[in-house]
Amino acid sequence: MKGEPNIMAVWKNLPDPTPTASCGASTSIIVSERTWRHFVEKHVCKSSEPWRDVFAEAIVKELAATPHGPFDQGPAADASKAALAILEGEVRSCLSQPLVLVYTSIGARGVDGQRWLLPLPSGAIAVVNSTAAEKTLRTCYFTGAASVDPTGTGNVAFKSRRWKIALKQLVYEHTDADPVSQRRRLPDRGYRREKSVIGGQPEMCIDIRFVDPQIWGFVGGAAGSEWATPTWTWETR
Amino acid sequence: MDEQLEPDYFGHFDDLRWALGLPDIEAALKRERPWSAADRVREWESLPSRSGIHSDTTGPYWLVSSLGFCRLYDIALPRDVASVLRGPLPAQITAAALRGLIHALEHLALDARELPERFDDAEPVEDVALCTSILHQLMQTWAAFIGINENYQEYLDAGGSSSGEFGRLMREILDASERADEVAQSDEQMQLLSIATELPLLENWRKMVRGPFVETLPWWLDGTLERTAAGHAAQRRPLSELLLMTKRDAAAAQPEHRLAASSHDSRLAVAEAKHLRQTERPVAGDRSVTVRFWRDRDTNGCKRWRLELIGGMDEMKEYVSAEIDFGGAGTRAASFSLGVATFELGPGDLDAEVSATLVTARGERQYVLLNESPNGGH
Repeated sequence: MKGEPNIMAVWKNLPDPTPTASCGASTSIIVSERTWRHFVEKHVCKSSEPWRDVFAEAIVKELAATPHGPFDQGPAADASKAALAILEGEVRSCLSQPLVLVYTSIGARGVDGQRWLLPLPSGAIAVVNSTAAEKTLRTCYFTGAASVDPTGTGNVAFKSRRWKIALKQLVYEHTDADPVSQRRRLPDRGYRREKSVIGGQPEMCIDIRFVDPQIWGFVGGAAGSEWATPTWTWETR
Repeated sequence: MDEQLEPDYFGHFDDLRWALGLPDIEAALKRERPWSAADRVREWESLPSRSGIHSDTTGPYWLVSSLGFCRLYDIALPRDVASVLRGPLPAQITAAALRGLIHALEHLALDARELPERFDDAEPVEDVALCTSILHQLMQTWAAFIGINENYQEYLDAGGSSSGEFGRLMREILDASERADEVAQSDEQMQLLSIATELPLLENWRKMVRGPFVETLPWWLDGTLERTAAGHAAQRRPLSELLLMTKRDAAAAQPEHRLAASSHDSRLAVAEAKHLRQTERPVAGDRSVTVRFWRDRDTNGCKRWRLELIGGMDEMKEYVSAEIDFGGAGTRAASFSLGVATFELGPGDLDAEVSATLVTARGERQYVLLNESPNGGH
């Protein structure tokens, strides 16, 4: 459509993790070309992020050959299509659990909508912006600790651990440690975070929710429930 | 079987169990071990220098770092782990862990070096994650060092020489650690890492560190980052200063646009302005601009329409001002502030087809047809 941003993919019929959504509600996530270009250039092409363990080597090579696009023609189009299908599968897996950190983001002009943070089965973290109008994938990245594979040979056993590292980091950054027991507890609805980044956009995160708390590893769904590493694996879900 | 395991409240038992279950580590720990002090020293001395150590360094690295975290936080090892980890680790495993730690420190130094550039290019959430990721890596490398050093002290106590292979690898660790610290403690990096002072992360870690480690906190936990953050406070724009409306304004707002005041912070009130539509328009090259239409109320409670052009993080450096043309009915100019140029719209503007000319810091003028009116479609 004239004037519309280029859309790389629309992932349809995804389970809607919004706490207020009705049971069984579905949603769609849009992946714009801008997001895809950012993802390819700033993440897939970074040797420090283990995308070769997620996509086939050939896919990564093709994407790295044209990091700025265009992604709608030639080998880059095929590689993008294949990579998008894998990412969609990962996002779908997370939303199906559901395993999503949801919070309301407030920017300088008021409520920006919700953000969804998804610790994907591969160990990457996907960020989705959710407004009443649409859901859009904003980025997808590996954090440093989940990327460190000292052997550098794609340790097969380690690959399946990365999602727990990503999950634990999200828990550690969005909960408080109990001063006595040192354990992490499920925050109450009043818990919030604020960032006023120099040169960046300030943001306040309110109404932080781990959906579903027990899948995240919290003992229960009530505020104050203790967290422990989940004992389930993606293979057994 | 999982039901019988002690819950992993800190996330380290699971890592330990995983590492101990790796075939090479499991086999090395099951093997007959030299238990006398002299034998332990000989075990290290018989290791070939720089070769044939261990093909997999990932498992051993995670083993020592998880063990180190348990020491750091004074967490008793679960029975199933303690029964396997009796005495010092085999030299072969420790040497592999040392190599893993050197690699992790190199990874950390690279991440820290690239932080400013990657931060500038990052999307929201990702920018903060880039900073906290470095702190997580610093914590893990510290823990790994603690786990390894425990074995090194044992080795020295047993009569081992610091000039041997173990000592040589320890010196390599210290050098790699110094290099990583040097990069991470550069001015720009420290300024970015200090973002973490707004999260519960650092305070949580401080709460968790126990025993002798409390007295020797590393630079990212000893208040240095907080001092850095305080030094740059003047450059920050706290959100409360930037919100559309104050709590006092909230009372004046109409019910359908009521303000959602945060009950736990009376300073804060947030305008629930109605965000009507948001689209993205390509401008030039890789650049694009986001177009938003808003309907909300001004401080007197009067309804108003606004159009916003959002340059975004990448483009903030590029665009300094914008001029909007309302279908030939007149133009209006606005400067980009915090990446956003805002235009108040009058009733006559609502049906106009809107185009914009964006002006960069270098004086380039870039035309973009927004092709959308507040009331109309595309």
